[in-house]
Parts: sequence; C-alpha cells; structure tokens
Amino acid sequence: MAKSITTHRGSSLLTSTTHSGGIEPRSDRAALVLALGEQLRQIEGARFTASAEVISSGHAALDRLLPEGGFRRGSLVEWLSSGAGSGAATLALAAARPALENGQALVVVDRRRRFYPPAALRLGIPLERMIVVRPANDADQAWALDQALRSRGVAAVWAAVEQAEDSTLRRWQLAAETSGVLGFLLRSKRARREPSWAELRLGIEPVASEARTQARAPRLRVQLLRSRLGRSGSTVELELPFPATWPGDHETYRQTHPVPLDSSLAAAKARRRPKRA
Amino acid sequence: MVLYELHASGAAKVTASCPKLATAAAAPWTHTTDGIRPGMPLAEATSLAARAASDEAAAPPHLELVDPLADRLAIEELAEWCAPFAPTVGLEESPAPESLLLEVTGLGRLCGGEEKLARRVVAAFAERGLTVRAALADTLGAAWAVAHFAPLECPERTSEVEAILAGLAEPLIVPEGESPAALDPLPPAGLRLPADTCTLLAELGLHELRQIAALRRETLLARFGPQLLARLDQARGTAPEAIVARAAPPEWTFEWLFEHPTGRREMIEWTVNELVARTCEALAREGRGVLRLECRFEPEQGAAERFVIGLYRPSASPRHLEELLRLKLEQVRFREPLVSIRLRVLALARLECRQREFFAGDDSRDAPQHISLLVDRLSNRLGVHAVVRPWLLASAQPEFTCQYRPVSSLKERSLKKLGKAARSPALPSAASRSTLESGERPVHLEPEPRALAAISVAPEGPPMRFRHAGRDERVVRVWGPERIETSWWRTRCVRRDYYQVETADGDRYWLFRELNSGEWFLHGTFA
Repeated sequence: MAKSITTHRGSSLLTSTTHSGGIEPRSDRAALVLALGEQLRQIEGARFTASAEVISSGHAALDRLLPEGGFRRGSLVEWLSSGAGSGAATLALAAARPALENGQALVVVDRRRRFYPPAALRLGIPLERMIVVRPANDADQAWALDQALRSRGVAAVWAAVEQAEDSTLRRWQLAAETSGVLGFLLRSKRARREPSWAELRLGIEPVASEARTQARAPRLRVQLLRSRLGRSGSTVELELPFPATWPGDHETYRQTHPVPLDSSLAAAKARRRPKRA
Repeated sequence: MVLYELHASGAAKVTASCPKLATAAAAPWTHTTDGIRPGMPLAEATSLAARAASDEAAAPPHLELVDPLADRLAIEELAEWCAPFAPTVGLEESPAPESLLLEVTGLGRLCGGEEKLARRVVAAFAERGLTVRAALADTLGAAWAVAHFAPLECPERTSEVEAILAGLAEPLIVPEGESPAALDPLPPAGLRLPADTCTLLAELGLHELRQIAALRRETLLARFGPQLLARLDQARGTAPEAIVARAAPPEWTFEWLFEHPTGRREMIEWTVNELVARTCEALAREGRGVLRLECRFEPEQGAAERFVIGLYRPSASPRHLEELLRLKLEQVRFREPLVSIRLRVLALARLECRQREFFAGDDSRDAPQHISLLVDRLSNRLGVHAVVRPWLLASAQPEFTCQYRPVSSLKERSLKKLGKAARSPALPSAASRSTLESGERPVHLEPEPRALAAISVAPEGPPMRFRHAGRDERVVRVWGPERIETSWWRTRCVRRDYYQVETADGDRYWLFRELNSGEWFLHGTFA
C-alpha cells in the first residue's frame, strides 16, 4: 500500500481520494483533505517527523498562503518564476532569514557567480553567517547542494537550479529531511510540468506596477502550485522587500549614531591605531 | 609589477613592487630618488607608474592583489622541495616567512666542501627559475644577516640587471669561527628585530653591529629589552638557536609497500583507509589532529601521483579523513600499478576536546563543528576558492563593494562566529553601513557590466527601451538616477548613472549609463 502511494504523483492521487469522499458535507471536505494530506505525508516521508519546527517566512501574507503557516525545517521549497527580474530570488532570500535565528549558517550555491551579497545584507542577513559555494559545473553543483543539505550546521540553502534530474531532487529532499535543513531552490517556470519531490512549490510572478503611482517596492503574486498537504492553487499578492531589520535594529542605530559625512573617512580614522611593537 | 593590498576601509596600499619601478618611476617633482615604495597609496603608485610608462613608451604596470595564503603555500612547497639538500629544513619565524633555513652541519664533507654545496643549492633554484641569495655561516642568525644585508659584489657586466643576477648567484660563505667578524659591518636590522627597535637604534646613531657589540650588556638590556641581546647572542654563536623543522617529524609518516605492484582500485582504497586508521590512532594517542595530510602514490615507473587534503580544524577521526581522501581519490587515475602508498602529516595541531552533553539535542551548539566538516568537504573537492565568504569594502563602485575570501583561510575564530547565535550582534562596520545606506542593490550582479542597446528620449534621461537576451523590453517605470562616481584612485575613472527599471512584464533590472561615453550597460537583475 505504502509503496504504491509513494510511486504515484501527489496531485492525481489526491483528486481521486476527494472524489470518493464526495458524499461528505462541504464543510467537512476541506478538513478531510487536510487529514488525508497529513496521512499521505506521513506515509511518503517516513523519517520526516511532524515535530520539526515550522518557521515563519517573516511575511504575514506569505505565511497565510502556506499550509502550515510557514516553512518546516527539513523541507525543500521550489520557487518557480518566469522572468529574470521577477523578484523570486529576493523573496526566497528574505524568507530564509528567519531560519537563521538559531545560529546556523546560510549556504548560497552560486553556480553562475552572479550572487551579490550586499543585497542579502540589506535583507538583514549577516554576511559572517553566509557561506557562498561556487561550483564549476552542474555535477559539482548537485554534489555541493547535497552536502550542504546534509549538514547539521546549516540552517538553509539557497540555490538557483536550472536543470536537475528527478533522482537528484529526490536525493536532496532526503538529505534535507535527515538534517533538518531548509532548502530553497530557485527554478524556471518551465520546471512546473516536471514531477517534484519538494514539500512546497511556489510560483512567483511580478505584478506590473503601472497602476500605482508612488510605491517603489515591487509587488509579487505568489501562487501555491503544489503542497504535500494538498491545499494548493491559492494566490496571494505581497510586497517586497521585507522590512529589513538590522540585527540590533538598524533604525535605532541610525538615530543614536550620527552618520559621518563620508563613511570611508570614518573608517580610516578608526583604523589609525598605534602600531604594536 | 606592483603588488597591493586592500584594507577594510577600502584604502589600497602598495605592498611590494619590482625594483625597476622603484627607481624608474621616481617622480620629477620629488627630490628623493625612490619611486614606488611599500606603504604608498595605490593611487600615488599608479600615477607614478603611468608617468614612467609614458616616458619610456612601455606598457603600464601590472597590478595584482596580494595573496598571503598563496605566498605561504608557495614557500612551504619550496621548503619541501629543499629536502634533498639537508636533513632539517625550516622557515624563518615570521607571519610571512621569506627565508628558507637549511641545517647543513657536517654536510660539506659529503659534497666536497661547503661552497660546493651552497653552489649546488643556488644552481638548483636557478633551474627552477628562481634567483636566491644564499649564505652559509656558523649560526642561523649570522647566515640570515649576511644573506639579507651583505653588500652585493657585482662583477662588471654589460647590463646592470645581469650584474645583479651574477652577484646574487655567488653564495656567501662565512668561514668557521668568523661569524662575529662578518657581522660587525652589518646594520642592526640584520638581527631580525622589529622595525621600531631598528628605528630607535638608528636614532641613537648605532648603524653597525660592531657598535652595539661594544656596548655594555646591562645598558642594552635596560634600554631595548631582552630580545636584542638574545638575537645578538644567537647571531654571534654564544646562545644556541635551532632550526625548527617545517615538516612534521618522520614518525608521522605511514607507508605501505606492496609486495606485488597493484593497480586495483579496491586494494588501493583499502590500503589508504588502513593507513588513515594507523595515522589517526597514533595521533589520537597524543591528543593531536591532522590539519594537512599528504597522500603519495608511487608507481613502478613514471612520476608519483600526490595530493594534499587540508582541514579547517584538526581532526583525528578516521571517518572524516577517509571521506576527504576518497573525494580526492575519485579524481585520480592510476595508469601504472602502484609500488607504495604513503601518508604524511604535514601539519598537525592539538585536538579540541569537548565534553558531550548528557541531554543532547541542542543542535545549534554543534553548529561550528558541523560547519567545519562541511567546509572541509566542499573545499577539498571544489577547491579552496570555490567556498568563500563575502567581505564588504567601503567602495562606492558596486563591483568592488564585495570581495570573497576562502572560508578555509579564515581564522578559526571567525568560523566560530559563523556558527554562533547572533544574540549580541556587533555594530555594523563602516563598510556594511555604507551598503545599507546606499540605494537598492540587486540580488544578481553581472560579473562584468554588459553593454546594451538602449534608447532614451532626453540626452541625459532614463532609458525608454532596451534590448536584452534577444528581446526588446519596454521600460514602464524608472527609479533613479543614482549617480556613482568614484575612483580617481583606481586605475580607471568611473562615472555612472544607475537606474532601476521595470519592464512591461514587471521584471526589474539595474541599468547604468556610462557618463563619459554615454553608453548603456546592464549591471544587475532584481531576481
């Protein structure tokens, strides 16, 4: 029984079960779907303990969209986007920040060597907690991701994955489950038709800001494309960036510390210490 | 060629330059004859060099960032290569060693005289393409002083460079018992003293060692502390000083000789694991762990295959080492059957002991350990430069704001920080503050700005359309410009107007107009 379920793809299986439960009153149907989803998840991921912590994404609207109100440690999340400048990577990076609270590292796998850390700093991710891995080819990338997802010292892995085989994805998912690492994979929208081992699959589209006048923050439409808990299809619109909280609150820091005319001058002054003998 | 280093404040300073530039680039408006010198801001140095280049119609000098780790590894490799010349090879005690020390007591007789031995060493270095200054004396201190400060005896040659090279090739031999006499005319810097002590000595008018040697020891001790006396005694041979061998003592070498040469993979892997187990057992008994481990495969014929694994923290865990070795082993192909396999511990350190917690479960406390295991694995397979940590510099030009440093070259302290809970965060540094205060920055930055065909209506205005990735993009909204103008102290002056643009599809890009040429570039994507 268990075997047959695991080899099926989640979506087709779910429609058939809801259909068989069609005689239930409408209000119970949602609860039933949720319960069956939970059952399914327990069968699918035997080692995946329900006790793993659920972390808020740091954004209330996004949390409402997610079935569990956040991301569960040890799960893979796919972020599918169409365009290059959709904001999906920024959203995923911002959503990884709350996972870092317990002192572990963020691993960024940067195959194309285009990741720009100052943007992460602006989202409130301390750079000294970040390890950037720059593999030279796809095979190394797959291996590095696997290693990072397997390490207990890592809180989250953030990677843009262009091509990945089904078996590789499965391996990553198992690695994440054993260690409790949160894996954020940024993929192209084309991957939508491919099967997925990820716990969640989110589709991100930018909302053109023509209608609005002043707002500068980009708006994104996030759709829950697939979830192992079953509830999918809902959409939410939210705004980037998340309020960047500098550790120790950047705003207060700015108010209490006068900003020097030129920061490099201040730095030069601070460095002028007496030389040690 | 000019080497420079970057400081956290963004200031670039010259560390070293080739001697030709040091004199050729002497600025006409200064009265001194020295041109580019260490400690000079890079800006000054480049302007001097550019002037020199335009005078002589030569190419502008090559600028390169200093890499202390690479320097260190290179000299360690040389030290290892020197092993055939002397039983003990060491490096001078310094954070950035530049001298190799060879213990040659009693070896002169084997080579037909000490001078012949020295000439052989110099010739071997010359074959490698390296010019060295060799000196041989009774004491380490005397040899060091003579090698660094004895005047060059240059024979008459056609060119100055040739003469210097010929002078360098002559090894300096101080005959037995004459070390004090050889030291007398040398400057006090020859005693390996800190720079401020040397300055103090110079201010007091002590320019030669014979002047110092003539002073009373008590006054020297009172005025300069024990170091000067100790160095003086060591150089003159009245106090002992031994060369600290760089290589680990031979007991940390484990070798397996095959009775019948084998090329079988399983056999090789089994043997490596066996050797690792022996190494770990021996090391763990002493409470030490491996930092660098060399693995050498000797075939019947041909060159030996060798690789080195580096660890971030000392380890004596066979499982961890086996795994790291296996990662390397996978990339090696053996063409010939192997005769022997040898493991050698190149660097070791005391193991860090941690008490296990009775109520385990708090993973975050173990985070630094897990991270160091991960860093070891990643850097050994992907290469040290593929596993990096970002580092901010207070530079306004976006591509220079961020620098990467290999995680495995960081001090262990910073790795601990990597895993430590940021409950009491440090205040933001000047560099990160300036990043936070600048305009928005994209998550993806092109390694090089990419030239674009873009149309703007007003001559200094924002872009209306641009062509990117084979598509015409219509710009719907624009934010900016953010003018970034930096850098007369860099090699090239940069003036740019950055715009954040939104296309009809809602995608956001970071474009800039180069103000000097008016051309458009794509620099980043708000991915």
